[in-house]
Parts: sequence; structure tokens; C-alpha cells
Amino acid sequence: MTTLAPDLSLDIAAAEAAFHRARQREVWRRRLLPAVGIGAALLIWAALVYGLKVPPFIAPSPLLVAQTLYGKIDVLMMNLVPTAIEAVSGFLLGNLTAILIATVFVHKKTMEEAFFPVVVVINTIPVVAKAPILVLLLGNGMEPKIAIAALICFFPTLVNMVRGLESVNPQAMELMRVLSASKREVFFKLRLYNSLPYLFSALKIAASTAVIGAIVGEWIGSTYGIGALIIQAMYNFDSAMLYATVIVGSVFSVVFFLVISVAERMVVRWQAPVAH
Amino acid sequence: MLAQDAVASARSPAVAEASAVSCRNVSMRFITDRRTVTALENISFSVERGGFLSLLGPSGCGKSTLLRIVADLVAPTAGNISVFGVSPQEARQKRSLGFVFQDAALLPWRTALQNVELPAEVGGFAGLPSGAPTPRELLKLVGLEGWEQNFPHELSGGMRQRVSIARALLGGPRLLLMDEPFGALDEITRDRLNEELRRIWQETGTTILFVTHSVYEAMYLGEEVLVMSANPGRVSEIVPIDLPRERDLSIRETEPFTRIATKLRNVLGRGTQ
Repeated sequence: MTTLAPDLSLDIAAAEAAFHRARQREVWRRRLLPAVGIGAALLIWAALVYGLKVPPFIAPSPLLVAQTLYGKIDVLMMNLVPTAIEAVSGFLLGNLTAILIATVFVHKKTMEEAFFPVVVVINTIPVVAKAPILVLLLGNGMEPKIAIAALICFFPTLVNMVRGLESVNPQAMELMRVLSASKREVFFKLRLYNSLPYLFSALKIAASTAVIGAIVGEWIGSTYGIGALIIQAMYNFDSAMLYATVIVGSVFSVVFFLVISVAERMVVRWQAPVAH
Repeated sequence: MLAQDAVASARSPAVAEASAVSCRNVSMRFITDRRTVTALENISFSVERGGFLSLLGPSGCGKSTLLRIVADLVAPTAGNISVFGVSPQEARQKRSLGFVFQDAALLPWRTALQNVELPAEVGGFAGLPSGAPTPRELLKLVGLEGWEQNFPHELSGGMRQRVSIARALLGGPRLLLMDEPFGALDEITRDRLNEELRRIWQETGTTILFVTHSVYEAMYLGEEVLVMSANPGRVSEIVPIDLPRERDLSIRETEPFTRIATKLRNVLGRGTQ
């Protein structure tokens, strides 16, 4: 017994060390594999362009794109600013409207039944078809782009928000009744918190689609912005510029998405960590 | 004290005031597309102040529905209910009752302490009546001292149910309605919580209505057991539990306990035939 005990603790220490090594390896794997994947994709891209001798006006090599990104960064950034303003304004406008309408829908079922079909119909119109309509309505400034970005964010947030506000634990609802809580208290103490995880999954979708909306808006009769730059580069057969613009747009989308994810982690702190 | 109450109620016209809960010929029918279901038929019973009544019956006998009627969560199709001499609605609005649900129904975004504080924030009951136990004291009463700042997902099922009992006790309700609160817990936790609930009942003097489908739980906890039968839900019998007021779990191995258990099981058996 006395000889067994130290052996056992040694075994445990060894097992713990092995476990931590395995964990460490797993962490590095998760960090390295995406980088390896991106690297491989870039290599294949370069190999195809050089191997098949694709002319630069059809498709650029990764190196040429990198050079353009570096050399034309001022033009790219100057055009990113209006697109970012449109995307963020549209994001705020669309989501705030969706949250307000969801609140109305939850409290006035009649409104939901009457107007939800209208919302669905508007949502079925493709963005590329909505854009000309809004340009005619709102002119050539930033307004139609903001409107398109807002419209594109609106629908997923409305649907998710209504679900989040309504899918309250029925026993929690009964609890509020036993406590004689008012509708207002039920909303602010129960429904709103309940909707936050749903809202954030919609906001994460909206963060990337708002940028798409702004870019599509700029395709039609605009002289500035990422969207306009894409069209210009295409007409000029400046494929390197085209790719560089697309990359700048995507990076902005990713950053926007990450900001929302961080905000989510700061606000929704009560959920059990999801097991992988 | 009890005699005084009896004298007071004899003088006042509201005789029902003498009991905590009194149900007269309560019936409940649910109308669906396909048929009308009679969930409760002619239920009559009363619970005295400070009493502990267990509602025992098979699934679907309407015992939860009965509890919901007393809590003013649903309205009965017919019959009269009075809770401390007033309608369930008035009793609810006066905060005379606390309700403990089967799943603890804690708000996941609130810590244990914040969950217990909820009743003092809503329904126009800002703050606590003076002298009433504070949320911290109630968490201590249910054995959760030191867990105040934990979120529900960090607590075990038994601990969550303790939090919900503390929440139901906030503001000192005169009637505690419990709807199979320990049904989802393991037997060991359940036994411990049964013991604690008896202790809390004795310490607070709250009247308790406790729904369960466990014969042992019903009789270990209750001073009386109302046995129900299903289809339609009826009162089979109200069985007084002649056990000492001070009970611990070992009482379940004694002869009087097993004798009453046999009786309850016979009454239940009659109901299902």
C-alpha cells in the first residue's frame, strides 16, 4: 500500500503531462491548419496563373495583387471609406428598424399577421433588382446605398428577433404572471434578454451582408466606393486592381464580423460554453 | 393562536378565511378540435393555514392543472376557489402565493442572487416588506451560501431548484405552490431536498401545496395527501398522515409509514381501475 501510493501519483502526473501536451498540440493544430490552407490556396493560384500563362488582364498572380495592394493602398482606402460608411449606416438603420418592428409584432399579433407577408414579398426581390428601384427613388448619393444595405440586414434580424422575443421559456412566462408582472416588465426583464443570442446571430449575418448591399448599390451609377472601383477595374481589364479591391472589401467584412462577435461575447455572458 | 383564528372566522361572514385554500366543486374542461377533455371534475378540498397538502396521482390526473387554477394561471370552467378568503386573482395580485415550477425556470442571464431578487423588481412590488428575509438570507436558508454570484448554468439541477424555492419564498408568501419540483432530480438529491423542504415549512410557517407522483414523497412531506384518479380527474380520498411533526428520512422504514404507504397505494389502485 505504501509503495503503491507514490507510484500511483507518478502515473497521474505523467497522465496529466500527456494530457497537457495533447491539448497544446491541439491548440497549435487549430492555429496552423487554416494558415496552411490559405498558403496552399495561394500556391495553387500562383501555379495556375504561371503554369497556364494566363495574361494579367484575365487573372493576376498573387504577387501582382500584393504589389497593387501595396502600391494603390491610398486609392483603395479612399474608396473604402464611403463603402464603410454606407455599410455601417445601413447596418444600424436596418437592424434598429427590424428590432422595433419585431417588438411591435410581438405585442400586436394583428400587425404581424397583416404585415409579415409584405416583408416576405419585399425580401424575395433580389438585391440587384432592388438597387435600381432605390437609385431611382433616392438619387445618386449615399442614400440608396444605405437603403440597400439596410434592406438586406432587415429581414434576417426581423425573423430572428421575433423568434427570440417569442421563444421565452413558458414556465418563465407563468412565473411572471404569478408575480403579476406588467407587459413592460415581461419585455424588459424576460423577452429582451431572451432575444439577445438570437439577435446576435442575425447581426453576424448582417455584418457581412450590409457590406454586400453597399457594394451592389455602388455598381449602379456611382463614381466612388469599393463597388464603383470593382466596375472600373473590370472595364479597364485591370485584374490586379479588381482582385485588390475585392480583398479590401472582404477584409472590411471580416473585421465588421469580428467586431460583432466580440460585442456578442461581451453582452451574452450567461450561456454555458458550447462543447466542441 | 389557532383558537383565536377560529373565533375570528366564526364572527366574520367570510368563513372561508379560516382555511388557506378552499376549493368547491371545481371542474375544468379543455375544448380541442377533436374532443372535449374533462381534466377535473367536482374537486372539493381545503387546506388549513400552515398546512402541508400533497396532491398525489398518476400522470394526466389534472393535479398540475389544479395547482395552476389555485395560482390563477388558468381559470376553471366551473366552481369556486378561495385563497385566504379572496379569489386566486386577488391573492396573486397581493403576492400571497409563490410558485415553484418543475424545471426551476431560472432566468439564465441572472446570477442566483439576481434570480431570487426578481419578485422584488416586478409587479409593482419595488423592494421587500420590512422584516422579510433578504435574498441572501433566503439563499442561506436553502443551503446556497457562497453561490450567490453563480449563473444557473454553473449550478447543478438540485441547486437550481433550491434557488427557485428561495425565489418563491421572497416577500414571505403565505402559500407556496410546488409543481413536481423535485421530479427531474436524482433520488439522493431529492431525499435531501425533501428533508430541507420539511424544515423550511416548519421554519417559515408557510402553507404548502405540493404536487407529486411519488407516494413516498407525498406522505413524507404532507400532513395530508389528496389522492386523485385520472380520466376525469377526481378526488379519490384525502388521507391524513399520522406521523410525528418532526420527521427525518428514516421514518420511511417505520411501521406506521409503510402502513400508510400501503393504504395510499390501494387508494391509487382503486382510481386507475
